[in-house]
Amino acid sequence: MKKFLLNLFFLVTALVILFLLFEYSTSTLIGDRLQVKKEGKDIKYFVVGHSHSEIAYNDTIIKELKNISYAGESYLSSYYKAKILLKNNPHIDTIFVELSNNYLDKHMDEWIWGSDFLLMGYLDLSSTVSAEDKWWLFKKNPSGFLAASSLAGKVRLKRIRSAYYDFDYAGGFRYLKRDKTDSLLKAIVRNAPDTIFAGTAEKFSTQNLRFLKKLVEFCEDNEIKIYLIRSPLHSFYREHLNEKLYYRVLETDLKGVEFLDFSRFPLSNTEFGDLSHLNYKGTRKYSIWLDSLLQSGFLDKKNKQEIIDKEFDRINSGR
Amino acid sequence: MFNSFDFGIFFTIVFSIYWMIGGKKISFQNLFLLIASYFFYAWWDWRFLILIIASTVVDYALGLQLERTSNTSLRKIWLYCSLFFNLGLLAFLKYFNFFIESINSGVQFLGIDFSTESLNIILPVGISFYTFQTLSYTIDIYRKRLNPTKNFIAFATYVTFFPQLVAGPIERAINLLPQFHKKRSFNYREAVNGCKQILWGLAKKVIIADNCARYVDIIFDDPTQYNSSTLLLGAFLFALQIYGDFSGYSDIAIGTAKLFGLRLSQNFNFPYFSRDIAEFWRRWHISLSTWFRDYLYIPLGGSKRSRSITTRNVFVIFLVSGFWHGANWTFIAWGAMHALLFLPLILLGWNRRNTNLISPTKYLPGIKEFFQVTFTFLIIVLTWIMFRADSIEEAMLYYSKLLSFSLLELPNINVDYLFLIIPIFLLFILAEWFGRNGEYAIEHLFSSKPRFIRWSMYLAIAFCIYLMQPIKSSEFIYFQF
Repeated sequence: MKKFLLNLFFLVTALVILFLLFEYSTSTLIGDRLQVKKEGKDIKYFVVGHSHSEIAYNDTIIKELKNISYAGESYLSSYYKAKILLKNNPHIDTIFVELSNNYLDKHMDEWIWGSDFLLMGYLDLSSTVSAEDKWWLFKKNPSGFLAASSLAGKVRLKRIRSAYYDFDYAGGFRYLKRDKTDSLLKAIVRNAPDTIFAGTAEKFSTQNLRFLKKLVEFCEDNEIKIYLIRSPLHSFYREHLNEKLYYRVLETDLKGVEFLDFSRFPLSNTEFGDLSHLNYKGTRKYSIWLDSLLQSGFLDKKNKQEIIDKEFDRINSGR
Repeated sequence: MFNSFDFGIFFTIVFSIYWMIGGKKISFQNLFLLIASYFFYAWWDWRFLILIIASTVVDYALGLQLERTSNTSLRKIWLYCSLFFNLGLLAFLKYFNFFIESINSGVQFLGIDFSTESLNIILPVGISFYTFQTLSYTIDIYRKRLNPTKNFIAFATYVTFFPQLVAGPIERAINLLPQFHKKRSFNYREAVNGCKQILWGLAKKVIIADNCARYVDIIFDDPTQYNSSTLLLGAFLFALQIYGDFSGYSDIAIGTAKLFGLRLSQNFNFPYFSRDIAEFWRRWHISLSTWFRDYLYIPLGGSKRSRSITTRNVFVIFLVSGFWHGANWTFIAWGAMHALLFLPLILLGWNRRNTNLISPTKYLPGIKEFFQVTFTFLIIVLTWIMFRADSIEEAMLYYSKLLSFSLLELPNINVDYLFLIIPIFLLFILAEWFGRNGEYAIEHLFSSKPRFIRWSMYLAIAFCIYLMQPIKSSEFIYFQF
């Protein structure tokens, strides 16, 4: 039995070494040769986040901004994606990072290491994710990570075989035609009027926040200006319930990072795709407004939130 | 599932406790294996444990009754009780809705306004396997080929032994039960052999079956979208999938049993290297085909009587064998196809022409053998279409689409990572060919070579399993039977 277990141990160890060698060699080979698209000099800002920002920022309207957000993306993916894009575009010195209330929700853990999300978020970034974070992901979801890393390994081999080293990341502005806010509200009121704001107030994804803080640190180290932003949200947006927690996190964990709250941007129900997302009408209205705001040198001003709030009052009063 | 992380953890725990604590005494070993097996089954659905326990208790008791009496009529009654209980259970849980639906459609076809409601029945995993196992026990006692056991724990462990509980091999009591009466001690060579077999089984399941499944599902889902060569490719891939899936499962089950010091019977013997259909059936799902041969075909008279009786018996065994796979007319039609292919061989007395291994001492087969194997394989591939289709109509559509000039075109389906799939699949086929002398392909492959070469082969296989694993592993096909 002793001999059997010893041999098994050696074999498993050899397999782990083989796996690590494969991961390291293919990741390094691609990482060293990765060709990242250089944005034009007219682009000054990146916006990163999940579906809220993916839909809200039409970068064909906001001239100086490039939207790199992607639906269902956790801060782990955002961190690695933004890091590589910022490093290769040194002229971009400002990044907006979406921070909606649901980013703090506990279910965001699933967005980081859930099997389906790993397959979505990990593939393009596998050659850039650090060994430490790979090990951490493995510990969180061994079978999910192995499935994702196996697929990522095949993708890397395919790249090496065809000498294709372009950095293909998932993300970009998405046009949303949806218009179901009224029907959603009617259904909620009809079916469960008491649960409109039912939700989870104190559930907290510390891990998602950890990667946001890593992004903040990276930006600080590289003198890149970082703004946390909250895109327009419907007043019935469910996750508003954790507002207290949201502000507590802003004031403690993210203290010192400038926060711009656009969530109250005045929009009608027909300008929302649903309670969490704008639709193309809302996006157009919001993007035109934001573009003019940025063009006016808004980022150089002090008391930015006051300016935003005054702007909202002005729009509300129809001036 | 054998290829899941959960099973890996479960197995590690059971293996450790079995040899550390249970290794001391035979009763501990059996009791522990029984508890582990019940836990394994309950993991899927604990409610159906009642069925297994009931089946175990009934056949255990009937086995003792059969021994106690010498009265032929009474013995027959006890045997019928066992048959009625086991087959009744199977008929109700597996075939009730099929019968109801068939009666409804038959009656409607005759223009009579009548229909009966079907029931919402969950098919318990492994029922087709363990009922056949317990039946072999009572039948063999009735035939006085086996003495009943008085050790209930040993018998219950035989019925529920977890590696082969859900998809076989269907073990005869005569082979497996005596092993539960002997104390098992750890055998290094047997354990290494078991590990190698598990590794090869996993490779067949994960690399071959799961990678084929992805494209098989796409092609069979809507065959009208594809040209004939793609449909042929789909059928060919399904042939590989079902072989990789089922023989892979069997290898894992047999290998796992070896690690517990138990020997299960060989279930597949390189069936795609068969030179005719009769040889294929001696090499494919051996535990089922020999079960039907010994408990159905031979009692019906086999091929020893008139030609008409032989013909009847061949059809009975193949139709029943097809029906065993599931409550669908496609399985019956698949059985009928094989009966038609097998019948000429048995009527002409050619069914035992190829009993030996193909080109046992040669690297390559002879030209005649090569064509025989290719022809047989092609026929089998075509019959698998009926097996895989959801209905007879779908199968007929597939066959009709298959016969066109687009058979000469290139397949119109995109296959990802072909640069990996083609060499790995070729290596797999080569390994199967060169390893056909063993119980499984890599049993003797490189066995005389230095350790470095052997270990490199194991590492390469394990790494391929990791690299080629699909995004989502499909369930073993035979779990549904």
